[in-house]
Amino acid sequence: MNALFHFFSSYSYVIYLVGQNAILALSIYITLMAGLLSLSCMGFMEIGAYGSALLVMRGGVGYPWSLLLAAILSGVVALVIARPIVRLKGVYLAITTVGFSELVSFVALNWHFTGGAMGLSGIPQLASTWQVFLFLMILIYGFHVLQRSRYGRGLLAIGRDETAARSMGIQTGRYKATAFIAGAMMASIAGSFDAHHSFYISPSNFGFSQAVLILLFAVFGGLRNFWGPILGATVLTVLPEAFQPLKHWETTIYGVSVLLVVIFFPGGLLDVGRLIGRRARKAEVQKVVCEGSFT
Amino acid sequence: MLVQQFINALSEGAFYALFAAGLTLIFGVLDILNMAHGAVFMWGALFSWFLMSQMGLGFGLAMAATIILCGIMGLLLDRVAFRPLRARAAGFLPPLVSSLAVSIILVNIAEKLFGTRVVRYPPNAIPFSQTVRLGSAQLPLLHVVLMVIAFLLMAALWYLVEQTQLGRAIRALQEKPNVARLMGVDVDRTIAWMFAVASALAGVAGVFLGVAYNSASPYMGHWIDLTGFAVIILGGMGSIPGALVGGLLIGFAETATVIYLSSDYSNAATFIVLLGMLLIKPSGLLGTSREVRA
Repeated sequence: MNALFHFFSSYSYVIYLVGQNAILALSIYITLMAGLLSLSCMGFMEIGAYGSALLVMRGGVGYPWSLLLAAILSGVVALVIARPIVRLKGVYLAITTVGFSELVSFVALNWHFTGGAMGLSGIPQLASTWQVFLFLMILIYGFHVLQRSRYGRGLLAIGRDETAARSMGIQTGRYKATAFIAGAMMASIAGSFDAHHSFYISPSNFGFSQAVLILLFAVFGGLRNFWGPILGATVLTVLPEAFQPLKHWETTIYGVSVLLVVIFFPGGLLDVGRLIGRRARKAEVQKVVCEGSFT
Repeated sequence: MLVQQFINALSEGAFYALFAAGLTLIFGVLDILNMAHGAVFMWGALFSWFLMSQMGLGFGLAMAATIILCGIMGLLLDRVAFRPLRARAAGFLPPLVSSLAVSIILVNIAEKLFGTRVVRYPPNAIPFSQTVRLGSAQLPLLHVVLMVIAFLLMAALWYLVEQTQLGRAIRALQEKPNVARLMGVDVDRTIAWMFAVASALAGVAGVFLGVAYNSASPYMGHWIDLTGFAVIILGGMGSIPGALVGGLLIGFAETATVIYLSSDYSNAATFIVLLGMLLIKPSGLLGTSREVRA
């Protein structure tokens, strides 16, 4: 009975984590849509986590409002740094955003108000799993609309070829900055959920290695559409749990599966699904051909 | 005191340069960040520790074995994570992720083989434990010797890139990969050699930093990756002298913050220098501002 309870409690945490990681993967996906490899998600997640926790604990702000205020704060920070940052390209942008995240961690680490290296504990546990998934649903709807909107198509055009997009009259700077800010606010909300779900946060929770894991979620799942990052986050969050019996080799399995998918499936997990689908369709087509129909 | 800190900064900078040289070499040719470089560095430190403390090998022998192992690791890394993607001409994101995956695997294997705690090198295996006097300062001889070797290795690497056939092929690939191929450069072989050299250097840097500060752990690759990126951006991507300048700059910046502010601030110093550099001159101190291809 005890074992069963233990199983369920760890399982429910994994479910929560799937939601949170999916939000984070989407926050990196929106910048990747515009061809920006931004690893700033951890920095903004940290602002969201500390911001919301401190507003509730020291500022006396109610919980959902603290989350919103922290998201607005992240948005403002992103707005300030967006213009110089989105001008950078490729790995330069990636490294700059890592630098930004490290600076946020540095502030959290050295400011007595945030609890320093000891972190912040005793955060009221106000976030529940359904809220995370409600927000994820809202995001999915948002991305669904975005994909078909003028703005979404513009972002994808920039991602394909920035020069061409600019020549077609897309204001690339503004588009990219908006994507950066949107990603920042999404990461911030995920951070607030994290703080209010886990009781304790410290700067070491928001490091470079966590940021690259989020990138892994997105690329592993596939970048063709927004379902890819969600799929990637889900699989890579559940995978280590599923391979738990393998006695600590689960990280290697994790690495090997990411490697295999990236090498053999340029479109990520989405491609794997598509391949299976195509095979089924091909079988159908063959059947039709055998029957001698020309359609 | 100041002399001592000066030597400290110089040796730290030289080790960073050694690490970053391979990173910058690979970036210069392939336009990608090798995220597994730090993991190879960590393997260098831990494998040499293993040979010295568990197998009882001397420093020189352990060093030689580590260089060979890390070189082979570089070959495998190229074979597994980069070459398949090169054939597909996939942008810079897939190789970044595949090398990250390799890094995750390497760290996990190191955890299993060497344990997760921070290890200390056996004192009897480390040579040059005496100190030398320079004026009023006491300097650990080990740091000075390792620093000199690091500078010599940087010079050797510079010679390799500038004066040898392999170096000429590497520079040709840096300039124009397609033309280099037409001129008879064996692209895959050249790149494989480059990975072997770069990874061997990362391993040496791992041994040196591990021995000089007498600590190694499976997680030591994480912070050096970030420092390495800072170094190659400061010095200019793809430039070997740039890696040296960048490494020394970071070494001095970190040592100066430790002296004048606090050791907590040394990482932030790296990134403030880096962010400033990126906003002012993204091509780095010695980098050429190459046209970024769409």
